[in-house]
Amino acid sequence: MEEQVQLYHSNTKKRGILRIYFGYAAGVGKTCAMLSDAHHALQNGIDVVAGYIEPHQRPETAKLVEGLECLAPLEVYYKGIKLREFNLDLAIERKPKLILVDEYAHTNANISRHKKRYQDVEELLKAGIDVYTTVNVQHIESLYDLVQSITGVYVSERIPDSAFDIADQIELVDISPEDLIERLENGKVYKTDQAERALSNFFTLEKLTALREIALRKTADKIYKNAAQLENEGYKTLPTNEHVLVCLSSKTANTKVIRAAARLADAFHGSFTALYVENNQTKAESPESLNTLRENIRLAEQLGAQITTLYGDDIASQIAEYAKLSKVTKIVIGKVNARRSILSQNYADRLLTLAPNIDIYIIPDSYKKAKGELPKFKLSASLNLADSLKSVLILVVTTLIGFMFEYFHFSVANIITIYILGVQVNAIVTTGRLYSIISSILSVLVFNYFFTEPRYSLEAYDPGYPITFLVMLIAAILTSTLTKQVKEQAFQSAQKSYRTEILLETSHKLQQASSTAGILKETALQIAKLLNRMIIIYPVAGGQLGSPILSESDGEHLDFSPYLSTEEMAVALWVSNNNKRAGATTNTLSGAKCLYLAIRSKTEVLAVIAIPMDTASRLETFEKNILIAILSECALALEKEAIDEAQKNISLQMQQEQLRANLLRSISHDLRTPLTSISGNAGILLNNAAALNSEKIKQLYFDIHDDAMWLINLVENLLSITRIDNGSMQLQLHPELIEEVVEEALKHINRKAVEHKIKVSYSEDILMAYMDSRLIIQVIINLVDNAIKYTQVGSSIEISAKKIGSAIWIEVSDDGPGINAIEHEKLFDMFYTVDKNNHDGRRGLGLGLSLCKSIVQAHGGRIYVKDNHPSGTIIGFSLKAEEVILDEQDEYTSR
Amino acid sequence: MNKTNILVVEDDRAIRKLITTTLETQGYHYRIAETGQASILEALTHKPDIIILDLGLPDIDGVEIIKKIREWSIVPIIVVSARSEDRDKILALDAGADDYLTKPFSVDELLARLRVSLRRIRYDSENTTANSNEFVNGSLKIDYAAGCAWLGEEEIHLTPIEYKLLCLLSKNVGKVLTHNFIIHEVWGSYASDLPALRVFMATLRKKIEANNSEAKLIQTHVGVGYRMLRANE
Repeated sequence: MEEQVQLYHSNTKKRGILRIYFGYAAGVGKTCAMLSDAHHALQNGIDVVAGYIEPHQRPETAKLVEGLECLAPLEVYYKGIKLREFNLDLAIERKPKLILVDEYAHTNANISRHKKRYQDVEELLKAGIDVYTTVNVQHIESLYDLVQSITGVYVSERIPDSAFDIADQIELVDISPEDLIERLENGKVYKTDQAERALSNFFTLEKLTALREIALRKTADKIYKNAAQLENEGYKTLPTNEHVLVCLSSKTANTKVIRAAARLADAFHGSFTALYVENNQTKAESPESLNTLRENIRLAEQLGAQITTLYGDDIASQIAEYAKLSKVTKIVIGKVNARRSILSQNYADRLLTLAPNIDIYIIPDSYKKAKGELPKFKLSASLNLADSLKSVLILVVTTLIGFMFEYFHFSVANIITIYILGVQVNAIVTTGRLYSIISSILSVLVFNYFFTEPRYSLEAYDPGYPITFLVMLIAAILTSTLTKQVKEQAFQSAQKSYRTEILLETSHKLQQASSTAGILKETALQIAKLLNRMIIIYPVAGGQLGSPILSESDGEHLDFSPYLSTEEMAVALWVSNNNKRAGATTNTLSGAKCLYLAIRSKTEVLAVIAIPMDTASRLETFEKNILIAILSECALALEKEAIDEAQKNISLQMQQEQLRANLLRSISHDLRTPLTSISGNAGILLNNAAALNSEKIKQLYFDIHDDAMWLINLVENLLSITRIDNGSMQLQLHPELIEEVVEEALKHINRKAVEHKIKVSYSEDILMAYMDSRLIIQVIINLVDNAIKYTQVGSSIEISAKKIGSAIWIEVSDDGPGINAIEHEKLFDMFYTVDKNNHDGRRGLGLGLSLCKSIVQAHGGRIYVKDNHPSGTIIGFSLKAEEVILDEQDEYTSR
Repeated sequence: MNKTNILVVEDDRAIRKLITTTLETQGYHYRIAETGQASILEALTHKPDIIILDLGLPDIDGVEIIKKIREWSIVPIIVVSARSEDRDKILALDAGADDYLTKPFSVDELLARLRVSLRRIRYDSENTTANSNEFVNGSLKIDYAAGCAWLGEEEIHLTPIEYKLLCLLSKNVGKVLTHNFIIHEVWGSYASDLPALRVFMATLRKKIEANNSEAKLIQTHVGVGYRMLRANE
């Protein structure tokens, strides 16, 4: 609901620039000014297109249109009349730098995508096209009744103030009222017969002067706002401390109150909230007044209000409570309905006593009585058969009890009590106040008929009886009212707790959901449950719709296909691209079957939700509120998920960065040693070979070869590191036979292996696991090399593989001295070597095992070290096994 | 053996020196080409018996050279390259190379690969006129006409797919066959059924190497493919 205002400030990246030519009346020359500016732009080499120019048939205007590229209008025959509309799609396809669209406030015929032209313009701006447009002061929503009170003319084509406020430039087209009247008299504006009528009605000097004043003030206001905005550029200031609250009602006159409040909020540059207090009567309101209420809510939204709904019977205290909590400074209410004050004191007064520190503005809403809004006493519920039967039954039973009492000669007061009890019971079991009141009156009448002298007549002899009847009636009505209230409060609190429960449950479930898809799925499920209809959610990523997530209210299989047609998806895409609601019950693409809402963060649309509206009724305010709450909850969860993901990536990156730095440091050190040895030995052989005996020479060759082999192995390890460094994405996982892999690994084992006994064993004939074979071979090489390195000559090393469940465990065990248990944990750390003195002092890069760990983990496996019995070490790791099912039967070719 | 002509295509001086020295010690004749263009010209004019080819040449990509040469010649090509990714090996093998060696390689390894190719050439030249319905490799004997195989005197019991695999390998003896190639030839599709291939190959190998512990007839190139070797005669 907060979308409009927020939206205009968020997506400002590549938005087009909107310039509004603003006038105070028709004929001031807006269109002319716009067209001549367009010609200017054209001369400066800007790509200008006349999107739509109202054919006024004023010669000057027509002349100015010449020379501009005109966009073909959308034409359609509607009820025999040819309608011409601005062709939005064509404009976006043509994508000029600048487009002229006359009459900003125009209402489109229903062939267009949007109901209003300002929505067309908004889409153009979003597409990055600059727009020039024109509008008059009387079309601005918040000024509408002001203008109307001056001119007495009803204006149906209006734009919300936000549509005016998004303008980047306001060009006030101003001429003096005298000149305008003269122009009109010369027939420049309207054709002559129209002109006279217009002149007498509208274009009087004082009216025009007043309108001009409003227009000037509005412009000044807008300029002030722009200046303030510029000042605040870069950081978001809180609005001034003023917070205006307007109370919504289901009366048409409420619009005036809303507009007044909007003007007030605007003037103070304060925040603006519209509050609606829903009570038991809301449910019983007629559809028309519910419609009016919706219209009012929409109006408040358009005027930039944040909509809030509360539940409760005591409107005044609800408002006061909310106002205190939200630090409201000004409350605007309409003139108070007299009916409200039967039981309580005047509600404005109560508001004053409840919230003494808040200014209260009361706006008279007396005008427009003519609209047929009689303050009739509305009985909330209509009659229904079941309730009528219940009432009659209760009456009969109470009367029977009355007769019984009389038979036993109990006093008459007892009988009266029984009747009052009956009325109370009636209030509990029936709905609506009507039955309570009817039953109160009937009880008095029946009591009169059966139990007062003379019997069986409605007369009463005793002069005290009228008082008895009156007291009885009042008592009956009062108790029934109280009972009803208790019942309604129970209902409301039930609804409230239901709402709280749903929200709590949703937020709980969303917290548990781990992935984006999980969050959306959970959201869809919750909303489907809440609204009791099918729900479709499209995830949005990179401006593209993902595959829809479907959810049904109850397990039954429903047909989603009508809601997944290309047309429907196109609406969803529009919503995703424009970050605005669309579809059924909105002003945009209202032909769609579903209502489409964006689930969005501050900056972007995260998903689009589709709510089918063709099978079930419109959403109730209550449902809508929870829906919005759930959606923002969902957006929060999604955002958190995205942030978590980014955080994880960053920390991973940092880790890798760290790793690489450490690696480089130790490599440069470790490379030097064998290189020195190789080059040194080769140098000796080159220069002094003759001086050495053949035994010595052979030893030198041997050393060179040994060091070179060591370097090769190091390089292989480094290559493997670069591969897993970029995340597991680069792993090329294929099913491989363990036997083949081990065999391949053994080919690369250090040639010293001949001094060790290497044994291989497999638990089954065919062991197959998913792996990147090069990397796993590297792991086995490292493990076996390690075993060779840390055990004495002649030790035996065993490689074994076995399958347990869905994993394959490969172990390399030796019967060497073993590793201290304390060192087990550190073993897989990078650059950790067990005992630096155990070998020839340089093969201790400590890279091998940490690399093995990284590789195994990248495969989703586990690596461990344990002691071998009686001595030695076992290092093992696991891989995901591949099950092989062969389709060939065991038939043999032999015959 | 000394009549064997080998073309060495390698642009790096040190490696070229290493290879040619090795060849010299074994008494092979060799010619040298330093660029791709030169190598194609050499291959055309001197008709070498074996080509040792480096993939990373300055002018033409090695894989392209293989494709060019394969247009008119079935000369064995042994690729020597620093590209160690399986993908690169498969690319070269599928283009028509017979074998693949990654740098750094040992001299012994290179000589072993050379011998494999030489045996193949010799066998081919000796048996061109011989009974093409029969294949003999050490103690393994396949009778294509009868559709059965023997190991020594004993008939091997093979499933149809194992038999197909054996035939495929035997007809390409000495050449590394990539997984995709084998799957396509045996199953007739590129739909990856690697696990099945692995298993069939493993069982096949167990069967034909059962009594023949001294020689491995089928060589596994992990991540790349399989090759049948000529048994030492």
